[in-house]
Amino acid sequence: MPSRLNCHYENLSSPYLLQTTDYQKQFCHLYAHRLAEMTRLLAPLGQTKWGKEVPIMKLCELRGEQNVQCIIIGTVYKHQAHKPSILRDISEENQLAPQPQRQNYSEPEDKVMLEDELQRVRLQGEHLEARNLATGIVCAVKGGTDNDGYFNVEEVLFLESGPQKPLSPRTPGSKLVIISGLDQLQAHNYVDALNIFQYWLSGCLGNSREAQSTVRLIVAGNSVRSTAIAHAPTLQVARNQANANDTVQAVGQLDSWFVSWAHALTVDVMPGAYDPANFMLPQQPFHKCMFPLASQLSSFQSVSNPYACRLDSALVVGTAGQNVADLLRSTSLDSSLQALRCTLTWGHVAPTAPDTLACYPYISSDPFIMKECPHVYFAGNCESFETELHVGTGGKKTRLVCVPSFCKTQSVALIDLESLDCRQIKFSAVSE
Amino acid sequence: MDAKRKFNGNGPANGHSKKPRKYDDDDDMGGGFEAELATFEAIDELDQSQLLGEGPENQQTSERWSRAPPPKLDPATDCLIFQQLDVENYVGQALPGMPGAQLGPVPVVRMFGVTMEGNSVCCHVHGYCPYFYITAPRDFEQRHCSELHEALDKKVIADMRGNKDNVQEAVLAVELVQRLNIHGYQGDDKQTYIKITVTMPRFVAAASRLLKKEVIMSNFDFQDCRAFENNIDFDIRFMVDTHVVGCNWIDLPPGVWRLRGHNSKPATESRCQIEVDVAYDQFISHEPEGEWSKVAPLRILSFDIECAGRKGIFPEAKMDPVIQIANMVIRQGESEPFIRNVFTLKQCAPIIGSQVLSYDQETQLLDKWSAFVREVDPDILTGYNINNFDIPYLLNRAAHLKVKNFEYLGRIKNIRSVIKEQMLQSKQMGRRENQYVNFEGRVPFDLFLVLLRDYKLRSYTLNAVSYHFLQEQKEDVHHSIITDLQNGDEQTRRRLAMYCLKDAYLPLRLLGKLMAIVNYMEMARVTGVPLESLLTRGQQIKVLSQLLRKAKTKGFIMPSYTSSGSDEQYEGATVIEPKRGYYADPISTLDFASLYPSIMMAHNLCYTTLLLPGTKDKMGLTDDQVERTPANNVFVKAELRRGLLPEILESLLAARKRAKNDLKVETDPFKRQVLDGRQLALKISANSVYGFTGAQVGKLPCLEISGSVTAYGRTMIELTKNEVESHYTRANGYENDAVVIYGDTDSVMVNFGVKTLERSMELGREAADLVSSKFVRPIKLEFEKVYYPYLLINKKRYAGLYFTKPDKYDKMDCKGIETVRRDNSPLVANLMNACLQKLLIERDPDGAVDYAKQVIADLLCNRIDISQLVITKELAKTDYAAKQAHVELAAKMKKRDAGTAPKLGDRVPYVICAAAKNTPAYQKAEDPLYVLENSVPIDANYYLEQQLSKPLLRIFEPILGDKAESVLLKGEHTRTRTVVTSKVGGLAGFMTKKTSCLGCKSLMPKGYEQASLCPHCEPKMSELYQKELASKRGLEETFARLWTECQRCQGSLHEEVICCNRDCPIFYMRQKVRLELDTQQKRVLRFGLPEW
Repeated sequence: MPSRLNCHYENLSSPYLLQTTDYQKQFCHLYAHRLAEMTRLLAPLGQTKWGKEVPIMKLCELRGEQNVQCIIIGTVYKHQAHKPSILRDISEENQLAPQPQRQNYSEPEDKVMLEDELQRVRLQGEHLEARNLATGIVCAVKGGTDNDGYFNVEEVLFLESGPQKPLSPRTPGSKLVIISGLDQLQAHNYVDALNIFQYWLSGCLGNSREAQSTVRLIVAGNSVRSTAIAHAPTLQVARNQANANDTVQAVGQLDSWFVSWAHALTVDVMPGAYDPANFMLPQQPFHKCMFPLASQLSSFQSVSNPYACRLDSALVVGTAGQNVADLLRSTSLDSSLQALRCTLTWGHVAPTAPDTLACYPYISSDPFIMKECPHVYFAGNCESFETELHVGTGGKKTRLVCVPSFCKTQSVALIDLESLDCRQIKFSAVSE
Repeated sequence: MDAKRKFNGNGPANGHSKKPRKYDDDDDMGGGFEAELATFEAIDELDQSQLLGEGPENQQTSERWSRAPPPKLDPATDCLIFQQLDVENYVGQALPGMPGAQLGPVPVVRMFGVTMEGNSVCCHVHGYCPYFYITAPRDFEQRHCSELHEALDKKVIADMRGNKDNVQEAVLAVELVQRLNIHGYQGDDKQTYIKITVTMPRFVAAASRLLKKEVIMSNFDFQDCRAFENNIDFDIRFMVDTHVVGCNWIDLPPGVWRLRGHNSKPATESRCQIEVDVAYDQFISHEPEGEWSKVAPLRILSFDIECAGRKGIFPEAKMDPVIQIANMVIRQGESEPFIRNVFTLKQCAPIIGSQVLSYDQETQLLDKWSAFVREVDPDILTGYNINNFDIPYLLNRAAHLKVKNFEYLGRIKNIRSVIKEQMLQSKQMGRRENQYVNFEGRVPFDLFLVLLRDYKLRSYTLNAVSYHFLQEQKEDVHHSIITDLQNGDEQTRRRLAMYCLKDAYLPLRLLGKLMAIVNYMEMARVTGVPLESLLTRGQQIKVLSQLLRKAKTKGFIMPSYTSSGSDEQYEGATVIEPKRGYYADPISTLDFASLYPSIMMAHNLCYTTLLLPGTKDKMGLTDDQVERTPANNVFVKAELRRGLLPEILESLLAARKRAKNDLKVETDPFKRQVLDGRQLALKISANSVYGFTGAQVGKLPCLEISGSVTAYGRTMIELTKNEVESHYTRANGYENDAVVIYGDTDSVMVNFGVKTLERSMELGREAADLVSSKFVRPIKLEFEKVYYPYLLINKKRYAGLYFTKPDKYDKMDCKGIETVRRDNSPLVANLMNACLQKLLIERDPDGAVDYAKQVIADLLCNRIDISQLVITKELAKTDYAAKQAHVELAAKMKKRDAGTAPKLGDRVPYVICAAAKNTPAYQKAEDPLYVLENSVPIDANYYLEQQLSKPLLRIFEPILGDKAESVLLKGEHTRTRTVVTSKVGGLAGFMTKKTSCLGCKSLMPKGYEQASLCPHCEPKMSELYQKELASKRGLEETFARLWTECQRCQGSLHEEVICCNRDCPIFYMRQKVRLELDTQQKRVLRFGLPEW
């Protein structure tokens, strides 16, 4: 077998790794830190955009003065009547006949508010695409208050992601494969597709040149399962999560797949929303004991979700898709790609965490702020493959990739790290 | 007397009137009247001199606050139309040109109201005088009237202790009139009565007493002359005679009224924008029909106060300052308040959308608030528990600080609002202290009292109530924190203000949601009593008001009845012995529509138709002209005389039918509310007529009527049973022999032995028609619903799935089952609910049994969330005779931390913990938080045996029979128990913890102390690791959902959650999940960090 290209790799996920945990803390610290950090970055941008005449003010400084033009920087809070609520779920009526969770609970009646360190104000205005905003976004708004206690927004400014380092590929033509949603529990339905994928990885399908240039495989979550375990309704008993035997088996099978793939190239495995991993973001890497065979190979590792790494000069950042899925539920954004783009332009990987997306209660950091603009930004477990080369301010170019769920599409995403081109490769055994 | 005056808060006691209670599970007729009678006594004259003072002028400071200026009015050409809200009387001077007494003090009626344009009106009505009747002694003739007039006048004046009002004339007129006694049929020939008109309301009692006790005229003896209508409130009397009903529209046509102005005589007395005088016989009182059913844009002020208490002591007005008062003012019919503000002590950061008014001095704060109330001029004052807390606190505090003019909160300039205290004893509520404050012209409408009256809830805290009706939790700041927030900076005070504003806003939202104002207003209109009396008085006044109105038109007068306090009982409603069991087939239910009212109508039962013993022969009535009731009383038939009560009921039910028809076509949501409120009020009123006749200490009890009503009811139920069972038989060609399995008061449950809903409905309808045809009109048996399946536990205890149409059930209907009891833990209610749902909706009796077993197993294994086990009791007093769990606990907590321990009046939540054998239950109560933090073991047996077993056995016995107990409480599932080791007490101090294997729990062998698994379990590491991780995963999800929920509820992302609302179901959960997550994380970490 011809030797593969080798490119420089650096794992940048350490901010996502939790060494110690403290669950006595509340979520306000995370919000407070996010606001402080992003205000620091947004304030100069606002001054540049709107000039120094418009002052940046705190809501509490708007004492009864109306129609003063000012800039307010704060966290968006979206009040939504149908937001999932544990209170409602455990209320007497709902316990036994739980209402199915709504796929999308964004409604025209949703109220969008902006909250700074101390106060909140309701936002309105034509330029405010309220239905596409989500709780947790930090932004700067220009406008003024009115008599009814609304803040009339004229313009909104987001942080976008931070600066981007130039792309200078040292390994021409190197490619990255991202796969997600292997759902080993369902794998009997597409075991052929998986085999073809394996042949393709090792270049046995007459694609040896392509295979040689493929430097890395990222498994972006939901390798074990891709749907939630159904809970039997129960009376608020501390939830007794049965450890399904099939899950253990599926992990064992995955181990063998990973072994064979890791023989071909380096493999990074991220946990996903439904995998046997912790629930809160950032999800921690799988424990070595779960993959006793693969973990012995140096070309195999489990990484956190979200995951960030540098391949040569390209910064690759991505998640297993929870951030995108959550946004699709709470906003009227209609495609994963749109949602993914939004998180990039908002400068935050997972703004809805912790509100509707479970997240560790950080005290003095927010690892989800995008301080550096990635070259490849992906989300796993999407309904279908979508991609776009997003050009941000200052010509920052980012390849957005919605990696399709393999169990649904039997396809993966292939990204050229030099040109940032991206395409979908299908392994459907039926059509081929 | 004083103690009886004010509302006693015994809402749930009014069992007989079918009020719109959500979870009414005891529909007992009759009971409860005694309890409310205490409130029925006439409100005696306030000693006005105590209240008088020199009130301040209104100030106009804000356009937003003040009402729009009134239009220029010319009494000669303009009419004045307003909706009156309050009717009261005072003693004033006669106004020249007005009817009635011209000398000395006279009673004047004051009506307060609002015009359609939103201007407030005070209308003085002159010339109406109180009167009463006595039967004329034999030979008393017209010519004796003047003599009696003079003699009685002298006696009454002489009887007065002092004459500070300088009364010169007490008796105004004595005349002979022809009237009929309402009580007992005496033929249509009227008798002669003496009508005595006096100048002042208080002379009614005095004159009738003197007539009874003293010799007034030498040649006539009045001692045996029965007095009539001398016990009627003056206000009610006035309203009856002038056809004014509660909250109706009053129309003053041009030329009959006088406008008071700056220099008019008499001068203005009120703070209303328009103040007028009119004679009592010159104004038009519109019936609340058609156009006149509209509602004026009333101003409703809802407010809430915060006090800075000291640690561990309930705020006392003499010590603890008022630091904030939040206000919301809404116009009736609008959805959002147009005034939102908060008065704060010391600077407070601004709140967008609300006005913040900060003052450095508390006296200033109170003074400005009082001025604010006068300026806003609200028609209705509301809030949560304002009658017993906020208002008295403010008044006491202002008095303590000597804030000038604070107490002038009413609409009459020179009358102070003062607190009257009273203790009230009632069967249902125990001893209760109530306070009442007068606000001339403004109606205090405390939401708390409304809820207490109309809804039966597990808890009446504002938190619980808002969760119940709005499905929203409310952030609760512990009183010990309030003082800290006040002593912080302007931002912490702002936080407090937000909280205070929410507490002022919630009552408005609840009033709107429950449509309380509209419904009460319609009730006032239908029954003809003032709005306020609906909250302060019992049921009787409503019936009395209607009866008086009806009697007047027919020339009847009511004898005054002095309660004999007899214990004479009449037989109650009947119950057909239930055939207990779980019925999987459809059970048709036949109901008598408005049973008691229709019995009274059908059989012409009334005071006026009752034949007293002996009268029949005396009057020479034949047997066809009378009807003997099953209770062996005799009433004349309608052909001879139509009874008043049947007429009242007919008009009530006809009006209800009209309202329901109008409701069908009305599209305007606000008008729909009014109509719906009306039809409800009419229904309740119709049902309370029966209760009025049965109230033995009431105004005019008549056990012949009430006893006959129930007797008819009983025979009808029996008859229905016989008809149905004899007609629907196999012999007559039906599928099966029908069996009446249960019958109660006004409904009969029939098992036709058919399998489909359609067929059971068809038969039900047919049977209803068949049986109806056997009864006198308007008694009608209606087919209403099918229960399918049906669980009949016992008398008045049953549950079923309620169908009115075959395709889908309407609801799950439970009667008399432990779902709302307050002294139970939520576990009981939730388990009952769940089991019933499984039994009835899922039709899975086995599943229900399994579920109950599962919960019992969970309970024994300590897997039930602690919030499910919390029992809550109010700490009413500390010196109970018997030791009580919550009192003992409060004392224990005080020793731990006096600052946060519950105080008198607080509600104490507790759980029962395991203790040594034979420890009395009251010593086993513990603070749920303490239990959580110290892993104190729960006494699962207590919960199983004292709380769960009885209700569970009750619902499962019909299914499992005698083996229910052994299956549920003694089965396999009760064998495994988890005992938590406490961190405190007992042997906790002597224990050392050794590491054990996470897989098999065995102690770790040497050399493995640091590892997670023993050598034996090591091969299964992946599996065991995943197991631990799965537990952590569940906890993480719960943790995130709980704490973000609290953030949303408190309305802030960047501030820490400080809420300590113990009523909130997630309060304990969020604490528990923290502890469990920490523990679980430690277990997971024993496998080592996932490092690569």
